[in-house]
Amino acid sequence: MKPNKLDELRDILFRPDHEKLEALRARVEHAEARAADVAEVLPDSVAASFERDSRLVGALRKPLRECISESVREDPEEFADALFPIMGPAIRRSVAEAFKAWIQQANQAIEQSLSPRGLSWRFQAWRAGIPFGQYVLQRTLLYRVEHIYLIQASSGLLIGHVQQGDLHSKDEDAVSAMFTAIQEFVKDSFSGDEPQRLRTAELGELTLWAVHGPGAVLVALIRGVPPAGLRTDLQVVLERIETRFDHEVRNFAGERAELPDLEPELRSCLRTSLREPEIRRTKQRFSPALAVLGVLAVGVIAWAGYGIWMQSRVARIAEAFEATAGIVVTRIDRAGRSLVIRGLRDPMAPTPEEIAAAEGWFGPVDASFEAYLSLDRELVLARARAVLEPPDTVSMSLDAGTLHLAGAAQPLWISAIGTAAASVAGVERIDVSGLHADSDGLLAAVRTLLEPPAEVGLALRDGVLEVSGTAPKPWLDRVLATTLPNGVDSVDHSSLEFAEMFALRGIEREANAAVLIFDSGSSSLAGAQGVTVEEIVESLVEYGALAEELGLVPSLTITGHSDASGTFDLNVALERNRAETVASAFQDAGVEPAWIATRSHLDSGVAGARMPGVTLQLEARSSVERPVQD
Amino acid sequence: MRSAKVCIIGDFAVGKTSTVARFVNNEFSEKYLTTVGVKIDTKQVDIPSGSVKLIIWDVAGTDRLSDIELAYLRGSAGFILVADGTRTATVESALRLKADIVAQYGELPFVAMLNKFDLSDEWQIHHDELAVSRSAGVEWITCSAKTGEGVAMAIETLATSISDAATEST
Repeated sequence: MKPNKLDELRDILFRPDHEKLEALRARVEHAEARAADVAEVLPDSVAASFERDSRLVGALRKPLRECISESVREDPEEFADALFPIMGPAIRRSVAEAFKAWIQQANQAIEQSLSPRGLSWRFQAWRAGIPFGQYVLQRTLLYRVEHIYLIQASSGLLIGHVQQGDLHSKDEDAVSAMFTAIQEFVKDSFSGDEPQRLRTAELGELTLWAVHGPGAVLVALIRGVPPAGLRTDLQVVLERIETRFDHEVRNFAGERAELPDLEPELRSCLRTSLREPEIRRTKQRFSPALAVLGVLAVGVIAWAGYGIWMQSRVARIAEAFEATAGIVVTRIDRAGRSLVIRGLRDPMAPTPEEIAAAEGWFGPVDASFEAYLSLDRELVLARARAVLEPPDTVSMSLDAGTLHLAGAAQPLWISAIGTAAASVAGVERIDVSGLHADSDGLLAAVRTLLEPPAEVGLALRDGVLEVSGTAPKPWLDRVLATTLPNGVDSVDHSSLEFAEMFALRGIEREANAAVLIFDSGSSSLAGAQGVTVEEIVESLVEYGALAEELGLVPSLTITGHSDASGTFDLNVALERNRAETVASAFQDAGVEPAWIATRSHLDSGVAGARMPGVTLQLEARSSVERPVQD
Repeated sequence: MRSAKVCIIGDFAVGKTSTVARFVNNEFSEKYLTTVGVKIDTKQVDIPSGSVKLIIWDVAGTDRLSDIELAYLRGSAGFILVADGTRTATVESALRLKADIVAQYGELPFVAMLNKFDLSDEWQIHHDELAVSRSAGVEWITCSAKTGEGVAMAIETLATSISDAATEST
């Protein structure tokens, strides 16, 4: 077969296919044709893909976002026009929401202003220096979102629930269902055909807020008063959930395990707003103007306080001046740092500087006083003390013009005092009865008064005049009878020996040593004696006089003795006779018979020599002591 | 665990509340029934395919469903019909109520409980009535709220139906 024939045949056989192939190649190679083809099937493809799974949404999400962003950048006005119908109502709703919240809080503020708590808050606000309304808002801004329920709008099934950690509640599925039931009930009972929804419920401190989306309701249970902005936040969270998980939310059939993790989104709604009034107050109160005003106020208060303090100080000093004897204040005040005082002053009064210093004033004192004489007791005494210059042992007191002086002083000072006291202003009389000479002067006066014998010593000790040495008894009697000068309270003469006693003891010694001798066996005195009866009698008479002087009673015991010859009885009789002989001789010579007692040496049993004689025992006792009579 | 909304409906005084009272967690007081017209209880039921938490909406007794009661039924995964075996009229009411639900929401899993089986002396339901019901697609389970007989089984049956329906739909 010829090639042209073959070509013809091929042309006849394959032309239609070739033409189709050409047409197809033209469609594939030409973009416009290809675009027209895709455009024809695109809507159906998109629909089919969307029905089948969510890959198309995922694939379109990013380019669409880019498209929209770029378009907005390029032509914002067009987008604004397009969104206007949506944004207008949205903004209006947001503004209305904000106003509603504000009015709610304002109402609450007004209500609270009349309650006891409100009054307490008003006081607190006044103290903190902030407006009451602001304070109430501060106080009421405390809130806590305790539970968040995400509820499927159509069924009331609970999609998700979160709560603050420490809380307990009823079964969340039941709560979710009950909320839906109540919402249906309210909607059906009260709102008629309007598509209204339950948005807020309040019970005491609890507030329930619901935000509604097309497929779900987000319910927040809040303790306290939440800020209006919270509702917007809840709305944003719900919108985000519904945008991201629209399909899952709408088609939720009760199996929560099949849902994506919604907890982070829901947890972001659990908020706690703590009030910090102290911090706020500090922050609010700091302002430069307030600080300047504060400093000024502190300055004014300090200045006023200083003035008041100084005034009270001057008043106190004035009182001290008035209370001081010898000062009459006619004017006292303050001039700059000086204290100015005018008046009258007794020279004996304390100086103004001393008085002011005692009250704590150590600044300058401008004092000017006229001199005068005060009749105040203390001043008169001070004056008397200055004039009389009494020794420390003299005390002074003033009573109705009479100056009383008491104590010990030199006799010379005492004698001159009357004249001196007359020159003291305020002293009309002087009483020196309490004055006495001091111990030296007093002793000299006593010595002059008593003229003691040379053997007598005198001493003064604590008002007691001690008399020692030897003196005749009549002198002591005179001393005791004499009125002694002031300052001598008593006389102690226990150490004084009487001169008469010495003579008495001398006579006693002589008499008691004397022996009168008898002839042996005879009761007559022998012719020759060592001492004569007359001499003894003379001594006895003197003894009697001395004893009487001293207030003593003499006693003379005459003991008769015998020698060893002869019987006992004869000797006893002989001894008695010998004693009686001597007694008779004494009595005859004038010796007081009452003094005399006789005894036998042998009979009385006393110790003694055996010899023919008589011995004497002379003594004197005080009149109360009676000699024992044999 | 799956949760499912279930409504319990029936005429006045058929013992809806009493029927479930012994088997559920009473979350709210019965005064809700007279105030809001519905009371919510929950009950976890263990069935072979797993556990189902029934959220039981106890709707106040009625012979026809008003708008609000129909609204309560929205989103239900199933429902429990309750009638009183000693009152024939309550069976008829139950059938009407079921028809109302189907008209509004389409076919849903349900279980029908014929209550007060303990009062057999006063029993009025006969084969005729049951046949009518059966023809309307309702198979009554006799039970007694007083003795508890049949109640658990009925509720488990419903839970199983709901679970099966959910599995099918996915």
